[in-house]
Amino acid sequence: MLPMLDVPIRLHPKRKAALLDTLRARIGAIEQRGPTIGDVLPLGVEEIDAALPWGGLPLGGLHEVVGGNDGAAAGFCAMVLGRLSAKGEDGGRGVALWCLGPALSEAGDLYGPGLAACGLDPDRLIVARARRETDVLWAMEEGLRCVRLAAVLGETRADLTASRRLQLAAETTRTTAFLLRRGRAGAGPTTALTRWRLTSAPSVSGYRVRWRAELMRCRGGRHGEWTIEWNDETGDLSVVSGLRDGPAVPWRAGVAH
Amino acid sequence: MRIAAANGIAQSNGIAPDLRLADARALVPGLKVVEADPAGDARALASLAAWCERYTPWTAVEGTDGIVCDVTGCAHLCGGEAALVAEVTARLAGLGYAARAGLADTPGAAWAAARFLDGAEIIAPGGARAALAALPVAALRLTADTIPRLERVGLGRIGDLIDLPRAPLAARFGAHLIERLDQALGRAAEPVSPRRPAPRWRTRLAFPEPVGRAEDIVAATRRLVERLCTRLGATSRGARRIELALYLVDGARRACAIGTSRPVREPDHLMRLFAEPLAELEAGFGVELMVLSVLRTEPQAPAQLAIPGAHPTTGNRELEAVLGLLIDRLDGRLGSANVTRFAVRESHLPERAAAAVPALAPRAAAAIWPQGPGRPLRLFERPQPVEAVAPMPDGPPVLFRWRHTVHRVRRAEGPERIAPEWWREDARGAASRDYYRLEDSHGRRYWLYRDGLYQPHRPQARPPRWFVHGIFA
Repeated sequence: MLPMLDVPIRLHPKRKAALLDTLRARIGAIEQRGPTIGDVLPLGVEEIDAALPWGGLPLGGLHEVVGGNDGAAAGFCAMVLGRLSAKGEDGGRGVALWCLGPALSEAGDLYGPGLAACGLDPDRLIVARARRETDVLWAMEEGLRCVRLAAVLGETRADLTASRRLQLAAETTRTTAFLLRRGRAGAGPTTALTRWRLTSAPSVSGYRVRWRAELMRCRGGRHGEWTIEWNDETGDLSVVSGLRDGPAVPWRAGVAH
Repeated sequence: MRIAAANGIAQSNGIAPDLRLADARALVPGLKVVEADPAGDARALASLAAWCERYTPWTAVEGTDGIVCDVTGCAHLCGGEAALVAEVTARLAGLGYAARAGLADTPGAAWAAARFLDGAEIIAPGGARAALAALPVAALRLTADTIPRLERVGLGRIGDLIDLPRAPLAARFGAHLIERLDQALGRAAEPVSPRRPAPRWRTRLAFPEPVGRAEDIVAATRRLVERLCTRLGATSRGARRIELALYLVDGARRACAIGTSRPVREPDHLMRLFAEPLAELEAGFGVELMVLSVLRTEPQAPAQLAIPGAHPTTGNRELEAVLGLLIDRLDGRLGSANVTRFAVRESHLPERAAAAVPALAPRAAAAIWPQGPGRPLRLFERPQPVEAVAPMPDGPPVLFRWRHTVHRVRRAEGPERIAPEWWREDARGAASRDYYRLEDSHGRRYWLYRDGLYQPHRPQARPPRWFVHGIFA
């Protein structure tokens, strides 16, 4: 029961916070049938999780990841897909689908051992290679309608109508969809829940992989930019603060361990 | 130029096949002449044979103007042999063809009945001898030179040949004559080779009125598929390849086929696979008959149905079933070679260490992926050549140029030497590769290799080249 607000009322801060949460949930429900709170994949990094209104990546929706000519965006996606497929049990949502487009000679094909190094078990991945761009979107929708997949990823671009279709399909079956593309970021409106831009960042010691992650669009959230470091042994992400970013180490020939 | 064929009026005016065109024009001044098109005739005959497959799948084209169908066991579907023959003749007349039909228990006798028997078209089983006796020897499908030789000797009717001793006949006129005689009388077998392989099982649905709407066609397909699944379930088999043929009222035939990667007998699964091909079939003027044939089946063990309300099982089979449907649909549109999973292979060569296998192929449990020094996330199928500057003999590159961009290397790891697999035949002449993991000034990580070694003591040798093989995350 909400109090009438024509008279200024002093509310206890806790009650105020609870009230605001209730209001937010009601507005969210009126706006869209969005993912319920609870179906979230926390990225494990407090700064990023705090910037996302759901406390992590919301499942059952569409996300866009834009990358450059390097493998940062694909690596980030592989890591997220690995976490999603590992979350599912064997009988449940334990398999992911990756749809490749026709431009394999430009971006390169996926490589099994490399996927394993990124945290995605290659046994839990189905790869579909399409010869036309439209077939990639079609394959994504088929995978989303299948109901039993952990996540579906397509390497293609989608206009507003296509992204709306994917978002609806993802919401209906509670499967997470990712659109991975290279090129200009921020191009065009989209109905995706979040849009990221991932580029490589120079690493310090050469062992840990570093990415520059930019949250360009987020439904109900704000823009953010972080340099994150990924530990491939434990599979953890962490944000790099200015103190740890030491001066560049001079190049030395043939560093082998 | 000669006349190939003439219609009834022309023949009554004296125009016969093989007459010269000039002579024919002289006989009948106002003659209408059309150029013969043997290829088109053959195509039309083939499509007529396809049309005849609605009665039986054992249909073949015979010569240039005949179709032979083996209707053993099919006549009851049309109400008996006489009704079948009458229906075929009437329908062919409706399509615009003048047809004569003959039915007998051997192909040879049927051929003779169709072409030479006036009056009765059906020869009763065992009555071939009596019916053929009065026919001329041309009814035996002999070669063109044998017939006048037989007639010169006075053997003008088949009845004259039947009782003669066989060995002198064969010696004088060839063994072919005896063979044809035996085939016509049923002493020698002559199976009909169908145009397309006959399916194991088929079912048909005829409509009293032509059906044109897509929803009706889909509903009829569903009925046929359900019949098929019931039959498959009774015999513990699953379908792997199914074909649906639509016979239109104008004599055309449209077909579509679906394939599955595992034996299936669930109607919903099959209907979902049929959804796309059916949408592309055009009904034209209307469909009057639909035939569903199963071209390939495999044994499929009966599945235990879950008792509603009982505790759920591990759901593995259900997962396989759902994944199977998804993969079948992806296969149908993208091709089964393009829907794959990764499998580990025993090889040091990076491009052979992981293979793409069909998505539902049986896998060894828990494949162990190599945990060695890092492997890239993306691998180029064909390594891309780059220009690199590196200190000799085996230092990592200092900078390299790829796709018109110069990359300055900040960090490097390597070399990792991978030698060619000498035991394989196609590895002759391949050089060993030194792989380096490079990170450039922007943080992008590449996997480069040098093909071969620097050999400064052999200046005439070709310098080794550098390639980009993969990109790291």
